[in-house]
Amino acid sequence: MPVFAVPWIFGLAVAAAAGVVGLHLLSVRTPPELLLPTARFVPDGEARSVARQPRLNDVPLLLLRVLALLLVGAALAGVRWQDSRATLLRLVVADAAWQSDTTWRDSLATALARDEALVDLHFVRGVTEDPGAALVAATERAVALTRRHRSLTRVELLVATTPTVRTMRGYAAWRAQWPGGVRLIERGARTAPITTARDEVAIAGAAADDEVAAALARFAAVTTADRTAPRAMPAGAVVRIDRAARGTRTAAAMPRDDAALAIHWPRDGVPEGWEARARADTVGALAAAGAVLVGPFTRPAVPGPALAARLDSGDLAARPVRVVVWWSDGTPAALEESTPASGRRTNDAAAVHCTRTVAMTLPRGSDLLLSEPARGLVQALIAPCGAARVPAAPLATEARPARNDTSAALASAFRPLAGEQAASDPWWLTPLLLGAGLALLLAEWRWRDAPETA
Amino acid sequence: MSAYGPLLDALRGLRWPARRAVGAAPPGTHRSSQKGTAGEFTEYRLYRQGDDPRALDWRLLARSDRAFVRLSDDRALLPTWVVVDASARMAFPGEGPTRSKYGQARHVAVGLAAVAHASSDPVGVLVVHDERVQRVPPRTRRGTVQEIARVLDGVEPGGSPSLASALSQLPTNARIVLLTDCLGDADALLKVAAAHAVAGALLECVHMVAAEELEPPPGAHLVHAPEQRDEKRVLSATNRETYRERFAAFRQEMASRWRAVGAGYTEVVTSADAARAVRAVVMGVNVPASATAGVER
Repeated sequence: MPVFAVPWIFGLAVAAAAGVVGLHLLSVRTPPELLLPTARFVPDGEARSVARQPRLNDVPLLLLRVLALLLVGAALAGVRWQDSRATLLRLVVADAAWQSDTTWRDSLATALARDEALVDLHFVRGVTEDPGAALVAATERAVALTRRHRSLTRVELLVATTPTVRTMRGYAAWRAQWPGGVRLIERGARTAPITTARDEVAIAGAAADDEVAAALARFAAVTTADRTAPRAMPAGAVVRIDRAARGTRTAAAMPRDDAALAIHWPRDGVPEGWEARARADTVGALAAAGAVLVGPFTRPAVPGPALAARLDSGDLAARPVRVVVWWSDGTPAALEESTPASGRRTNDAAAVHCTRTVAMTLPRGSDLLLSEPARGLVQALIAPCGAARVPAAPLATEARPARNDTSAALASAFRPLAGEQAASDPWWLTPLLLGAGLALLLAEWRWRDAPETA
Repeated sequence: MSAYGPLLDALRGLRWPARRAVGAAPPGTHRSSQKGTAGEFTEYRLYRQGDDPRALDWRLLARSDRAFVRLSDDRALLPTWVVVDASARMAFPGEGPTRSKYGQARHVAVGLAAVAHASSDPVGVLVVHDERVQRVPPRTRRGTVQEIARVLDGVEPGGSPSLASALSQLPTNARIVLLTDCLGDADALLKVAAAHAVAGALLECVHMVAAEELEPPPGAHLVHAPEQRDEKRVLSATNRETYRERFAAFRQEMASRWRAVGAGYTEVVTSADAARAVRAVVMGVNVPASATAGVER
């Protein structure tokens, strides 16, 4: 249906057309002719008379005039064509992996198609990794849709993602660019980011005052901490932490069929595959899965050439390596590498075996890992393989509009400046309407003159 | 002729005497201004030289020794011309419940011709239309009325001919009946008519008026005369009364002017019965307004 960029111009055209209709109702018109031999006895007077009955005369001419006025008015008012009159756009951005799930897609569209809202379901890759991708795609999509549908006044953004995501950094960075609230549509099982139970974490090779053991005892809970006899670690532990230096690693630190995760975090020295720095430096902060911990940590090593090459190759590497903990300057502090498939159990899909190496030295007797901000760091380190995720729940609550109660953004925020709005859409509509209107005016002129020339 | 059958039946036995003595003419039924030797005695007159000796009343001469001539009123024929105006105006109204003015004039003309013919008068017709004139000279023979009817039926009204010039060609020792709406060259016609009346012609004007002219159709109309299509005027409710007054004044003026020249004047409305219209013309009175006719063109 048509909408107008400058509606008052079309209103003027409508008013002019109404005036023309009124003139045709009130116009002075010639009465019907009558042959009368005694016409000489009729007093002289104007050979036209005002019609007393309000009946339209010259209807074809009136139609031509009205149509020409409306067409020209519509052309000058920047008419646009849009498919709906919906004022609310419900923009749903979901991960591209769910695009083939037509059942979920249809049920979602049906549930959202209320209040005559325009629902647009958009699929983007990486939403379950970082919802920031959804914000970027939503902004582009909102710009396109609000330009196409001029009746839209509000845009409601719904991000469909898993309850936990890999990171929220992109989301935090792009959040300010979205002028409204963001609603979360969770899909998939709600799982705790860290499912490790108390009796599933074991630590070996730790000293009596080991800082890591103390932190694990507080946040993740360690039931067995055999600091002197690593072989005595319980067989059922799914997370095994080896605090021994390289070269003295115990057999317990190696991944086994019943161990999901092995962590080599030498108290002193360099983990396997890492390259010791010529001079250890102190970096101010660590970041892991959205958690940041500030403290005088010592960086003893950097990833060796082999690890660096596998990091650069990403998922294309034969054994992908990913960063679990970052230094504040962007270099890795802890890496995770998958165990070859031949060494895994095949009847437990959740048990992804991997090995994590941590190159981070804590000051002796430090209580940095006991502070509350360290909880995230510890939980990220002992999280299941490949699932070092953070909850996406804040996405639903943090984005509240500041000025009003509704979470929908104003559609005008996505539209271009007023100078561009005067153009018609599609572009050829204005010249087409103008041409048609002028043609009708020409026809009206010919029609009006026809009786005089006849 | 079958269209005129009821009319002729209604006029059977009607005679149309001249309103005054006619001039010298062959013997007929009308009182003549000439004195003759007919059998019906009127008066005596002293014999004058040149009188026919056979007209002397010999017995009176014997008793009184004076010569008197027996005189009697002469009877003469009166040729009757029926002049019919067949201009375009006479075709009005073309459609409607009543006859057109020409249609009514045609019936009245046939009726008058039949009445005159029944009086043993020679009767003829002159139809003026489209700048042409069709005439049937006055005759007394049988079938004259039918011939007149055929001529009248074969004419289609049209044009704007001059009745005055047609009238000027007619003899003055006749009765001339003009059937016209008086909307043409009325002034010239009256002038010629006055000359004819002075010369001894008996003139009758039958003014044909359409009922639609007396009461035009309701509502506003742009009216124009057939011969003046460019001169259009609006006849509406506001000036309808003025129109009626002007038309009535015109008819009154026509009646006065025709009578002033010594002619008879009869107004015949198209809605009137033709037989009663003929009787009114013969008797020199107007047709009663209630005498309406059935629809017959």
